[in-house]
Amino acid sequence: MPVTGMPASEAQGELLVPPRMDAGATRAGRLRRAIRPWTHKPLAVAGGAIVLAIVGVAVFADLIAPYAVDTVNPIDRLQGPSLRHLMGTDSLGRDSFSLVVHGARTSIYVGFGAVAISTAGALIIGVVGGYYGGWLDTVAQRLVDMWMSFPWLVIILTIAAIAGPGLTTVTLLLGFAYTFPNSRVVRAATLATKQNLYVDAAKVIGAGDVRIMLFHILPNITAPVIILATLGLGNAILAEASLSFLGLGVTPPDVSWGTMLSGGSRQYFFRSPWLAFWPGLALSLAVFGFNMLGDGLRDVLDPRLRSR
Amino acid sequence: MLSYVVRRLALALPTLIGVTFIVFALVRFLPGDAVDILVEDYRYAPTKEAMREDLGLDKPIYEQYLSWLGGVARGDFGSSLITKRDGFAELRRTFPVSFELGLMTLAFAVVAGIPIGIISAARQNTARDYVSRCLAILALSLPSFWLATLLIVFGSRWWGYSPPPVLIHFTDDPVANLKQFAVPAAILSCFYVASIMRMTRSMMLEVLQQDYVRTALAKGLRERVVVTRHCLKNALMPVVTFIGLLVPGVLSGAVIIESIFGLPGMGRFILNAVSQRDYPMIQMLNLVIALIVVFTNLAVDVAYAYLDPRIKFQN
Repeated sequence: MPVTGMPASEAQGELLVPPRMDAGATRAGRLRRAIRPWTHKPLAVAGGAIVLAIVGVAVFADLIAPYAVDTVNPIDRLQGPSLRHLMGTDSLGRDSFSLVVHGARTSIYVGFGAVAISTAGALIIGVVGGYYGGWLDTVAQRLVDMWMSFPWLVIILTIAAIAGPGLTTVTLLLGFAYTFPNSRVVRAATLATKQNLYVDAAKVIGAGDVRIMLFHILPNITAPVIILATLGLGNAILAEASLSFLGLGVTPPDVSWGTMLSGGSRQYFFRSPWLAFWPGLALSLAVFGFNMLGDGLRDVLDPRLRSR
Repeated sequence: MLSYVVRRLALALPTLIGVTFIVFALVRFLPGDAVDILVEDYRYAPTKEAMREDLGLDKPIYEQYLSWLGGVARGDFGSSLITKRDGFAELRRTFPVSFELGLMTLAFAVVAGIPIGIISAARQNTARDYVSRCLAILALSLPSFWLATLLIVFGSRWWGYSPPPVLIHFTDDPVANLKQFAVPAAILSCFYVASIMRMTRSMMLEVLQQDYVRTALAKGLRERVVVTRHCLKNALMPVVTFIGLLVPGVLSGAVIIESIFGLPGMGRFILNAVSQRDYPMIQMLNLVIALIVVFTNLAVDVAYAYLDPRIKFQN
């Protein structure tokens, strides 16, 4: 009888050894087993490295950026790439490299903020709705249907324009927007988890609904939630940049990769094409990193897909 | 079949009513005294009272809703605060542009995405599969506005490309018109090629594991025949639904792409209306887009029932 959670082939020949003593239970063994699925996923590991790098840049932006981004320096405007200004300077004479570095901070802030909000919202709607069911769940899911049939960008643009754009508005709006589609996934996972015998067992020994949801269902739906959050980070970063590009996202003095590609700076792109290149590259790289990591996580965490 | 269509229409009705509620509430219950800004910053009317009357805000809320709905039913969507022109006329002018762009984008996405997905699945875990999967993730990560910007900036340097400044109508010069739309559509479609490819691949992989596929291969049918005749139909069913789900995204993408390429479509219309707080037009455009989406979903469901007769008899 294979030990639960271990492939049958691995357990062969260890039938008489209690599970506690097998190689997978020592610290090194556990580590090896945790790493093993990743050794065949160089792309996911690369994605993880990109993500770590971007988060690092965002956290230490003030230390990494060689110049301040809130000072205008007209004498140095529109310089080409040089040793002093690695990525050149923009139309106000600000160092492009420093701007790109600070852009990472905005992206990470909006990304993590929006994902935190949408994950919390989705967990509440999805777990509670999926666990209890009933008419409230039905109504919630119809509303989710309705929301998902709207083009999100148009709605968010409308609200951002009326409520006034800015870092907080964008983060809240994106968090709100992703709550609904995410709740669908959380709900499906909850419905599947609810069927398990251990949920019935918990009920039988008298555990309350809240206890079951928190300690029996929640820990068992972490895999889809982690995948959602990772892919959501990439999407939120892309969405923030798109909104900022349209002038309805982040407002100055906050620096955004989207803003750097839009508005008044566009007229200088023909003269100084590098201004159009670097922010977009940083943005694409960040989104690519999160997408790769999310894809890899899905393969590793979702055992049904592992063979593929 | 007809009864199925009617039943689906009846199901779409609550969604449509909900949509009108949301659209109506959207421009009325948001923070910030909108009328103040409309009068003081944009000078759409001489006084606040005149502005309120203009927008019909002086009447009770249910009356506002009903009179708006009545107008919509008669094709009267109100007129733009900026240009004072009739909203429906503006819509008739801008809709065909976005329609052509969207159709071309989806056509590119289907034509490229489905074959790549099939090959990737049929040749799972080969170099071809890895390359197309990596490219797909890359395509999902590249922002369309960056690609468009790069194309315009470097295209003009290297190939002397620049987007035509005015719209060339299809009836005037079909070739030039298609050329004008092909470039923005190609850029917009990158994302959708990748999504359709990934969807096709995973559906195909599922079908390829079925018993009847093994049987077909075992009785000596060539792989090409098995894949194209046996698997494709079954694998493409969910992809059809998926294409319908892409429509809202394509419309959102059009907002960005149309602005960059100077196409006078609905997307640019939306951006102008939103950034200048043209409330009657914002309301109209949100409703029209929601209608488009609801009816595309309806069309997809009906197509699905047509392709898979089992659907009709469920429920």
